[in-house]
Amino acid sequence: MNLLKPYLPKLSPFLILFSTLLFTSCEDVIDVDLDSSSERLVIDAEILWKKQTDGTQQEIKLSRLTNYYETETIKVSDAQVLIKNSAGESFIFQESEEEGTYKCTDFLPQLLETYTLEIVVDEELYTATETLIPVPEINRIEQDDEGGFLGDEIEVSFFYNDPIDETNFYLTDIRTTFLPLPEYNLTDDDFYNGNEIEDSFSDEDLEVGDDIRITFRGISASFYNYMNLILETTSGNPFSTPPANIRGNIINQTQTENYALGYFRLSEGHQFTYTVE
Amino acid sequence: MKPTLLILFFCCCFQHLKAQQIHLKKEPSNLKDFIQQIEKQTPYTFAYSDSVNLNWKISDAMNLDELNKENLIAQLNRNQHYDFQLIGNTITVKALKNVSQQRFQLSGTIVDPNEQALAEVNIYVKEQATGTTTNEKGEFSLQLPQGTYTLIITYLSFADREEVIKLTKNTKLNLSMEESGESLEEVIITQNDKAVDIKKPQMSVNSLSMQEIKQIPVAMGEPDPLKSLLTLPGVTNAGEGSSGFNVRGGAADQNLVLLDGTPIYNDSHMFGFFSVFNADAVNHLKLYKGGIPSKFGGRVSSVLDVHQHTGNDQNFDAEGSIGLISSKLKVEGPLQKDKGSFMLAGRTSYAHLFLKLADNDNSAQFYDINTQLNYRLNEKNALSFSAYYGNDIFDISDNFLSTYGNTMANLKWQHRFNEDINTHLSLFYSDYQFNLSFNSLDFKWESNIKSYGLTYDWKHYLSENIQLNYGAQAIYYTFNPGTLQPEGETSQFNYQQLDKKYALEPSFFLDIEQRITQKLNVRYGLRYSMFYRFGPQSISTYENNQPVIYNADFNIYEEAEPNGTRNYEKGDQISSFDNFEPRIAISYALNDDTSFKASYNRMAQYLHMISNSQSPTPVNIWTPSGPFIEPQLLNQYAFGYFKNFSNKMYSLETEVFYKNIDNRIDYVDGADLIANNNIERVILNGKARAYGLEVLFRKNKGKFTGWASYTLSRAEQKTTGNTVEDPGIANGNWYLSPYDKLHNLNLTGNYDYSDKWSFSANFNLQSGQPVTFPNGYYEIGGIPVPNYSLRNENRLPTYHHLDLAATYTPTQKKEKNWQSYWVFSIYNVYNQKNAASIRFTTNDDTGINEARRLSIFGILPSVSYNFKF
Repeated sequence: MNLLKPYLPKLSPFLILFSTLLFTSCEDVIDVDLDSSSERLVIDAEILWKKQTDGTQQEIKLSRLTNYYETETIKVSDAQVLIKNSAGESFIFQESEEEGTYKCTDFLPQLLETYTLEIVVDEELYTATETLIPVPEINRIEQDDEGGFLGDEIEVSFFYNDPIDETNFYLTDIRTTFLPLPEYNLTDDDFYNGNEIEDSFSDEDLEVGDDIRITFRGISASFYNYMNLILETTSGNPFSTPPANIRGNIINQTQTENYALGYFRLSEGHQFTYTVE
Repeated sequence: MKPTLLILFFCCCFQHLKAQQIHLKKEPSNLKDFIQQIEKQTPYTFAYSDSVNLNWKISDAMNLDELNKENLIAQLNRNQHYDFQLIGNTITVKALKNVSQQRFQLSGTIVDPNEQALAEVNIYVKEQATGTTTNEKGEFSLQLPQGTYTLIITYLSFADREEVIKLTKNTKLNLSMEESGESLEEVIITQNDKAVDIKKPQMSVNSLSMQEIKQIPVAMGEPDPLKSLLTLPGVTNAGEGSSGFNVRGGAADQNLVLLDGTPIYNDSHMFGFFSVFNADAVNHLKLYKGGIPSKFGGRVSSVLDVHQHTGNDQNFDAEGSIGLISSKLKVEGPLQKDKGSFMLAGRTSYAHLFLKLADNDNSAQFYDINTQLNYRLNEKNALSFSAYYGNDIFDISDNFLSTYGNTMANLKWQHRFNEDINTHLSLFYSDYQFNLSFNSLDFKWESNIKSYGLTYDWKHYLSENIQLNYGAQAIYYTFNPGTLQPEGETSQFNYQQLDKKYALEPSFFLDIEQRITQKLNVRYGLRYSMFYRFGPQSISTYENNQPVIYNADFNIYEEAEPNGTRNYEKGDQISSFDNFEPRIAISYALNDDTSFKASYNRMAQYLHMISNSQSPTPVNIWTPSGPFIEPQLLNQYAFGYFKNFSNKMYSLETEVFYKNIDNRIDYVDGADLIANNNIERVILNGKARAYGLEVLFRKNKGKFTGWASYTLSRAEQKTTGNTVEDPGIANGNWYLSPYDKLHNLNLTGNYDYSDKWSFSANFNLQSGQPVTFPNGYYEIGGIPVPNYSLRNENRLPTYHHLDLAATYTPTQKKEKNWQSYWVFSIYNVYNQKNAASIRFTTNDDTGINEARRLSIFGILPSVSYNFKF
C-alpha cells in the first residue's frame, strides 16, 4: 500500500529544489496564528521486547496535547499505570525521576499474548488492548556508499525474510547523533509477501565513523494504520490532505468524550547500533 | 467647361473656374514636387495615402506643359499609375492597380459553421474599396483585376473574417463564418465579436481570443490558453504550479476537457506549471460553465472545448517562439491546394539541457506534438485527422524515472447530405499513461486509462427558426489502476496487477435551438446516457455491503474485511446505470443591447479521479462508477443579465448560479489512495453544492481593452456516514471543499500604445484556499505530531499578484515575409510571497515545530521572441 510512499516525500523536495533553481520559489518559516490546544491526555505506550533481553524493563510516557509552538510537551504526573496479561497478572509502572515517564521492572513478555493497559489520570480510567507482535530475524546488514535517492549518500540497509503465509507489518526507527528526531520507516508486505525485504536508511550528513541505532519491530495492522497517519501528518507532504484527529486505540471508560490520544502497542524487536565504515 | 465639372465645382468659388493656365516653374522632379507647385498656384490641396509613391517621376508619365485648371483632373488621369479625383478643393490621389491587367471573376459561397448558407454577408475588398453582399443562397460574385486582395467578410453576430486572395484566374471561394467569440484569428474588428451575444440563449461561457491570450502576462512567458481562463469569472485553480482547474466550485476531475472533440485526461505539464495546450496549435477554446448543450456530457462541472488550428490550404506558413523555458514551432500549408491542408506543431522545454550543462544528473522535461490534417474529397465530403502526443519526463540521477502524458487521435468524416443536413462521424482514441521506474528499488510501475470512441453528430436546419443537433456517442474505456513489475532477479517486489476495469458509456442527444419571437430564443435538449461495467473482474463483497466500517470506540473509519468475492467473466455485466439529462436555456432580449438569460442543466458523471490532494497529481488514477461508486449527478440553475453599452464599446455580464451534486465521494482521514486496489474501503459517499455571483465587465474596443471580473462564491461538501451512528466527515455537517474561493477579483488590460509597443497588465486578488491548521501537538515515539482539527476550517493568506508585459513589434521590412515580436514580462511585480501551501513540520536542525510557507513564484521576469513567416 505504501509503494510510492518512499517516492512522494522524496520527490517533493526535489520538485521544490527544481523549481527554486529554475524559478523563484522558496520555502520560508512564517508566523501563523494558531488556536490553543485543549489539554487532552496523550499516552505513548510502547512495549518493546528487544531480542536477547528478558524484556522486563519497560516504560510508558504520559503527556498532554500542547500548544503547537511550545518546545516541550506538558508532562503528566501522579498517574496509576499498569498492564495486565490474559492470565490477569498485573505489571505496575511507577513514575520515575523523569516527569511523566513510568517504568516497570518486572514485565513478562510473551509473543502473541494479549495485554490490557489501564491508566488512571484525574480519576478517569483509560484502557487499551493489544497483542505482542513477533519480528523476523535480520539476515544481514549492508552499506552502500553510493546510495540514497540521488546516489550520493551513504546508505545502510538490513534484510529480513517476510513470512509468506501471513500479512505482516513492520516499523523501524533510526536514531543518529546529527538528526534531532528519529526517522521512521513503515512497511507492509503487500508488495513483498514471502520475499527478502530490504529496509534502509541514508542521509546526506551520514559519515564514516557515525553510529546509528536501528530498532526494527513487528507491529499489528491497526498500529500500522495509526502510524501511517502519524507519519503522513508529520511529513508535511504537500500532496496529501492532513488527517484530522488521529485517534489511537485508547478508550476513556469513565467519560467517552474525553478520549486520550496515543497508542498502546507491543512488539518484539531488534535493536542494534551500526558504525559507518 | 464640362457639365460634370460644373457639378463638381458647384460648391467652389467661381473665380477659380475660369480657364486658367497653370505654369510650372520648372519640370517637377517627382510627384511630391509637382504637388507642392500645384498647391501654390491653385486653391487645391492634395490628399493621398502612404501607398502613393511621392518619388514617382510624374513628368515621365505625362506632358505637364499644357496643364490648365479646367481640365486638370482629366489631364492628370491620362497616366497609368494613379487616379486623381477632385472632391471639393481636394484632389485625392489613389494608386491604380493593374489597370492594364485582365479582370477575373471572384465568386463563392459563404456558410455558417453548420454549413448553412448565409445571406446578406458583406464582402469588402480592401484594396479596391469596393464590395458586395451575398444572396439568399450565400453566393456572391465580383469582377476584379488580377492582383492580391484582402477580403473583409462581416456578418452580424459572426466574427469578422479576413482572407487574402491572389486572383490570377476566375476563382471560386467557399468560406465558413464562425460564430461570435469563437473566432480567434487575428481579424480587423469592425463587427465587434467580444461584446455579449444578446440573443443567443447560451450563457455561462468563458471565451478568449488567441490574441487576448497571448497578451496576458504569464509566468515564464509561455502563453497558456488554459490558465488565461482563470482571469474570467467562475474559474480558479489551487494556485501557481498546480494542475487542473475548478469551475464554479467543482473539482478538477469534473471538467470535460475536449481537444477536437476527444476527451483528454490530464491537462498539465510539470505538475501544473504549464497546460498541455500549445497556444500556437490552438485555434479557439470555449469553457462552458453552465447551460451546457446536450451534445456534451460525462462530467458535471464544465466542458472545455478546445479546437486545434486548421492548416492553411493556400500557402505554407510557419510560426513559433523562443522562450526561457520552452520553445515552439508550428508549420502549416496545403497538402493539395484548395483541397487539403496540414498543421504540425511542436513544443519542448529545455531546462534539462541546462541541467546537463551544469553537470546535474537530474532532468525534467516536457514536450508535445499537435497535428491536424484536412482533406476535402468533394463538395459533400471531407476528412480530417487530428492528433496530440505529449509527455513529461523526470529523471533523477538515473535512479528514478517517471514519464507520463496523453495520446489522442481523432479521424473525422464530414458529410453533407443536402443544404440542410450536415453530419460528422468521428472515431477517436485517447489515453493517459503514467510510468515510473525506480532503479535502486528494482521496480517499474505503470497505470493508465485508455478510451475508444465513436461519435455521430447531425446538424439539421429545419427552418430559420428551428435548428436541430442530434446524435449518438459511445466510449469504451479500459482502466489499469496499476501494474507493479519487479526488475531483475534480486527485486524484493512481487509482480502485482491491480484489478483492471472495463466500461462502456453510450449516449444519445438531441438539442433544439428555436427562435420563438425576435426577442425570445430557447435552446433545449435531452441527453440520455448509460454506463456499463464489464468483467473480467473479481469484486469483493462485504457484510451489509459496507466496505468501510465505523469504529465507534476509536471514532475512526476502518477498512472492512471482505466476506467473499464475486467473479465476473469477460463480457459479464457488473453494474449498469442510466440517466436522463435535460437541458434548457432561454434568452429574452429587452432590446438589441440588453437581455436576460436563464438555464438549467442536469448532467451525469461516470468517471472519477481518485485524489485527495488539493490539485491532481500525475499519479492519480481515473476509476469508473461501479458497485461501490455511484455516478455523480448535477443539477445547475443559472440566471443572468447581459448588456452592451455605447455601441458595444463596453459589455457587462452578470450571472448567479446554484448547483448541487449527488454522489460526490470524499475520502476518510488519511486514506492511502496510491496503488490501492480496494478504493471502496477508504471512500464515503457524499454530496456537494456551490453557489455564487459572477460579474464580468469588458471594454471591447479602442486602444485600451480589457476586463474586470469578480466572483463571489461558496463551494461545500457534506459527507454523512453510512449509518445513523457514524459521523461521516466533519461530523456530517457541510464543510468547505478545497476549491472554495469566497472572493476572486481579476483585472486584465491591454493598451496599444503604438504600432510597435503594446502594454498589458493583470492583477489577481483572491481568498486563500481552505486548509486545516493544527491546534496543538503531542509526542509519539519521540516525534512531535501536529494535531489537526476539523477539515478545511482555516484558510491560506489572501493571494494576490500583479503582472506586467510589454510587446514590441519591430517595423516590418516590406520585402520580407518575416514578422516578429518580442514579449517582455514580469510576473508578480511586487514580489508577493503567496503561500502555495503551509506545512507544519519540525525543523531538521533544531527539532522545533514551525510553520513553513512554500511560495512558488516570486518576482519573475521573462522574455520570449515570437515569429511568423
